[in-house]
Amino acid sequence: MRVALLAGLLALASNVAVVGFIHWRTHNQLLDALEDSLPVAIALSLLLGLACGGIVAKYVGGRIRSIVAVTDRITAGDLRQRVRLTSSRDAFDRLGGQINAMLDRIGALMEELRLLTDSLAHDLRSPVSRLRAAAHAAAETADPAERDQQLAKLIGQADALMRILTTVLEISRSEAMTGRDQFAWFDAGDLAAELSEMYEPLADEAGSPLKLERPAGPLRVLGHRQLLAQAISNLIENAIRYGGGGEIHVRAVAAGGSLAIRVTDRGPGIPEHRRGQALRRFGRLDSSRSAEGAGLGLTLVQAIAHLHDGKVVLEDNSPGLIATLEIPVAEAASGRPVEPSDHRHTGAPFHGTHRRSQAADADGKEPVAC
Amino acid sequence: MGRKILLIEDDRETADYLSKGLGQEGHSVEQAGNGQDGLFRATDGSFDLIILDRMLPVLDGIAVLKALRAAQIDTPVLVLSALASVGDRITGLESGSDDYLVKPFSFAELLARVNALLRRREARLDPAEHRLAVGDLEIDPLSRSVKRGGRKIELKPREYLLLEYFARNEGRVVTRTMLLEQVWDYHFDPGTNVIDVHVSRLRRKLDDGFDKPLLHTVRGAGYMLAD
Repeated sequence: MRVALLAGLLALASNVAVVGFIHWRTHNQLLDALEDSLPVAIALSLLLGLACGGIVAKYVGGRIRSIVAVTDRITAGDLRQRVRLTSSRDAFDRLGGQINAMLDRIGALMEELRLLTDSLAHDLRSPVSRLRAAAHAAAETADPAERDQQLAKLIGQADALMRILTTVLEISRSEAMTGRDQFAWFDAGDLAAELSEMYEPLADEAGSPLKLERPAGPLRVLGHRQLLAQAISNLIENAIRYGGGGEIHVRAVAAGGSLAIRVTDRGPGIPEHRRGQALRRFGRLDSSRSAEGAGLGLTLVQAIAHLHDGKVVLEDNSPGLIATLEIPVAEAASGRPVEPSDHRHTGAPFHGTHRRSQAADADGKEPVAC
Repeated sequence: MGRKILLIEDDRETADYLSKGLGQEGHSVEQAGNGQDGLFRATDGSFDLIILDRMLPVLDGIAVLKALRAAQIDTPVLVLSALASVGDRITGLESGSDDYLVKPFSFAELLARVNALLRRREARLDPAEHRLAVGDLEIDPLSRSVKRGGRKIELKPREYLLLEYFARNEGRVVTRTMLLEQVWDYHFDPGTNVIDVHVSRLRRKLDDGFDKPLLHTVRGAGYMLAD
């Protein structure tokens, strides 16, 4: 903008100078004067044009060079670099803003990836070292019966390790939206009932009566039945494991275009400031590594919710936890299949947080003109 | 008892290990190292069972399976795969396999599934099985009624399905994963002993008050219903 103004002023100045030069001569000398002044005017215009072009080129070149300098440093590995924005909000600022937004997104993704690999490496250490200890113990045991027992323990630990890896894989799959080709219509009320029936004896052993509530009519949903079954069973298993022997409720309800599967327990619950952590990979809340599970259960539930454009909400049951798996079910009642990928990114918190900096650049300033 | 099994597996170590184990069980095992060779051998239809690795050179396992089914060869197929996600398992089953086993697996798990598939083939060839009996236990699949020693045993619907599955695999080991897949139709790995609790409830109803237990625990493998 500033450049355009400057160039315009220069062009105007050159015209004024030529006209002034003409007026300075007397009228009858006009022809001569024109004859004389034309080369001067042309030379002057050319000079001013060159000067204008030179200034613009220098300015544009400078802005581009500063952006290139930043991208060079980023290419060299310093992802913290950002393009410095000016107050003019011109095309270069918009470009710079886009580059910065891109870098923010890449940075966030890399941070997530780094956290995942770090926690994987960290959290696999304990099961692997337990495995190693069991192998060592078996090798040291002379008595065949006892050695068999040690070996059985070792196999059990290897299986637990495999389960962790499978779950990590399942989470990545769901977050990458893989599995939508296996979506089908089914009654979520039936599924909740089936799983409640499946877990009722286990809950009973833990001293927690398990109660099911579902509407009389069907709760039709388009989704991945197997993955949703796994998500609901994770919620129920959590309630049994941490519910402290209190009553467990499994509720399947339809609410405002959404389907909610709500599992509540009467255990200690999760304090509000730690609920975010509970949903993260390996975010298990008790620091002791001896407890069952690797802290992936709720993460998987959330990933499966995202696959269905839904979410997981953790709330206080005072006392206890209310864990709700919520899935939008547009058009479910009419039975007409809806292609869910149209709105695949809406509602998934993973995709909404990196949209900043676009609004700031939206007031379309025109690029440089000379 | 020995059956003809075709093993299509490109990993030499796994193939030899499985051949040896299945051979010790009395089966004769033929090996194929890639999908094309495997498909060629399988098309004569003389095998009782095909064990098929999902990822194979030349022609992958799913393609082999589809070609076999297209050629109307209905030999039972057990797919082995390192693809462990629930979606992968469903795809494997939907492309015409009879069972799907995720690597790594225990030999006990494989053997249990092989035996169940062979048993199913037998049952299919011999449909005259209206009543199931194991020792003094009698099961009528039509009325879903169960008696032991002449005394009626009341079972919940799922308990009945569990018992029927055990009875149809009488004398063979049935693993927890097989129960979850066959009786409940779920294909994920539960992190709890949810299946064991169901089995022990069923056991109480079957065996309490009788001298001879019928439902046995097989350590490191699963359960077995046997007289």
